[in-house]
Amino acid sequence: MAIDSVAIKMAAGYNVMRPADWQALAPTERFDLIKAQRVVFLRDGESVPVRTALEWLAAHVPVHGQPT
Amino acid sequence: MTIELANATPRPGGAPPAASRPLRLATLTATGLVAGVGIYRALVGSTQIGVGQATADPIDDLWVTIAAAMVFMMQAGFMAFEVGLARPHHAPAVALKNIVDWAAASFAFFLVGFAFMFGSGNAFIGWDLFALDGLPVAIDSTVSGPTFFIFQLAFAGTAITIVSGSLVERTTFLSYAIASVVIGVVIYPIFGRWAWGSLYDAGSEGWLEALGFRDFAGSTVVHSVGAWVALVGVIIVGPRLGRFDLDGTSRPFPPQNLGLTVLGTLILWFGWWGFNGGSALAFDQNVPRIILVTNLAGVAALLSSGIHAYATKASSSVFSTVIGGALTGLVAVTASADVVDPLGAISIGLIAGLLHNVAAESLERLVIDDALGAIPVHGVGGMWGTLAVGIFIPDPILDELGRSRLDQLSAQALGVLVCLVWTMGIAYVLFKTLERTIGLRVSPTRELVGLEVFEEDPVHAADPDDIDDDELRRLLS
Repeated sequence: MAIDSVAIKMAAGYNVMRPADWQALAPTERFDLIKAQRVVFLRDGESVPVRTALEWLAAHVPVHGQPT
Repeated sequence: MTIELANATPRPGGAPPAASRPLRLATLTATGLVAGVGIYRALVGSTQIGVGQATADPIDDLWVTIAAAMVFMMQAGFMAFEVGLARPHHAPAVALKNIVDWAAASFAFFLVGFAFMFGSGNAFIGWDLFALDGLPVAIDSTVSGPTFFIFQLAFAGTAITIVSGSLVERTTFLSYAIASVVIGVVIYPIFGRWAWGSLYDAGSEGWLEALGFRDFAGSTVVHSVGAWVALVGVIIVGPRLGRFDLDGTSRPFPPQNLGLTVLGTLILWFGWWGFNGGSALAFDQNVPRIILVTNLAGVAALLSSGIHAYATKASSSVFSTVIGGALTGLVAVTASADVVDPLGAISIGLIAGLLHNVAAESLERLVIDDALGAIPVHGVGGMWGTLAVGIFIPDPILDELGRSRLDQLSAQALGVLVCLVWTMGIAYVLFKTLERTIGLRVSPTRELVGLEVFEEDPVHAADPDDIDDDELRRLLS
């Protein structure tokens, strides 16, 4: 099970980034975006619950260059 | 960044899904429309079309009928053009929108729009001929009433379908259908009244045309109207997912089938011979000349657009730029095809091609996602073509009209400005209302997977309510 993209609700529409780009955002920025319900984690075109997505990302995608 | 998706999750086997809310709403609306027409007829009696003693010229009638069919074929041209440029998983929805907006145009213009545009009334709006009731055989035209209607219907349909090209891949089907109706009932016919009211009945002259505004076949009346509605729409609905990076860097999507896009362009070009040639509303010695200058402007624009794109390499795709450039030339000459000479048409086309490229690049820099390039083609091309009337109209015609060139240019500029203000103002109210009521934009998942017309949208933004803040911070660290 892999998260293949992360969609962020912008002021107008959405924009999408790779998981690595999402992980590269500062923790506080990611926290604020999730709390504001502006984030959709996507796998094969379907949305993934936030807990499941974050657990997978923490296990598979390094944050700020840190190894998993 | 382009997202490559695996196959979408298959629908579970067994019974089909229950009817979705959009489907129920669409069915209710259609039923209401049919019932409304029936009630109208019960109240006012059967529709009288083709009444009166006047007769139409059969050759003129035949030509304009054929021209109407050619303009209707442009719906197929728009469809092929758009499907070719759209991404594969959106092709069905793009194609369907093109045929549904023709249905919306037909109903809207037949029931109300034509009356607003050409009915007896004042310089701002007409108020008879609803559902064409009482449509005379002919008034101040050599074509019959029904022929005139179908020709004008084809034009209304063109204005409406222009909008679809900008909003594809992320706009909900229902909101687009409603927008099509509003354009066909309000935006297009009322502006059309101001510019073309006297076309069918000299006593119904619009206020803009009374001031000298000329737009032979609709550079502004048709093309700019569609484009400015589209511009407001794309600003409000926002860009497609992944079209721009967070810093605004453009990430163009590759087209799925450029051969189909070229086919669509050629069908549009063919339709333009009827669009402009038929606008003479007669078959006379002017018609071949009108078609000649139309073609010259198109090829000139293709040339200038292509050379500029190749030389500057500012565009990510010379191919699609050239196609858009050619169409811009066709749009631009539409306003003056009845008066411009061949060299003038070439000049109009050459400038149109360059303007197209500049406009397309400007939209990208402004982070505006005009999916299929409708705004540079129809908006900027329409604006330039309308102003070009004042530049290229021959002196003898100005003398005949008792007008100076400056007077004519001023009238053209006024018409362009009025169109901008009217169209964008109504479109803003329309799209904002849709956004706040039924919703304008599909979910990210639906946009990435492909638009299904009548399927409930299953995606919601990540809901963190089941995770407390401390745990969320831990997961994010």
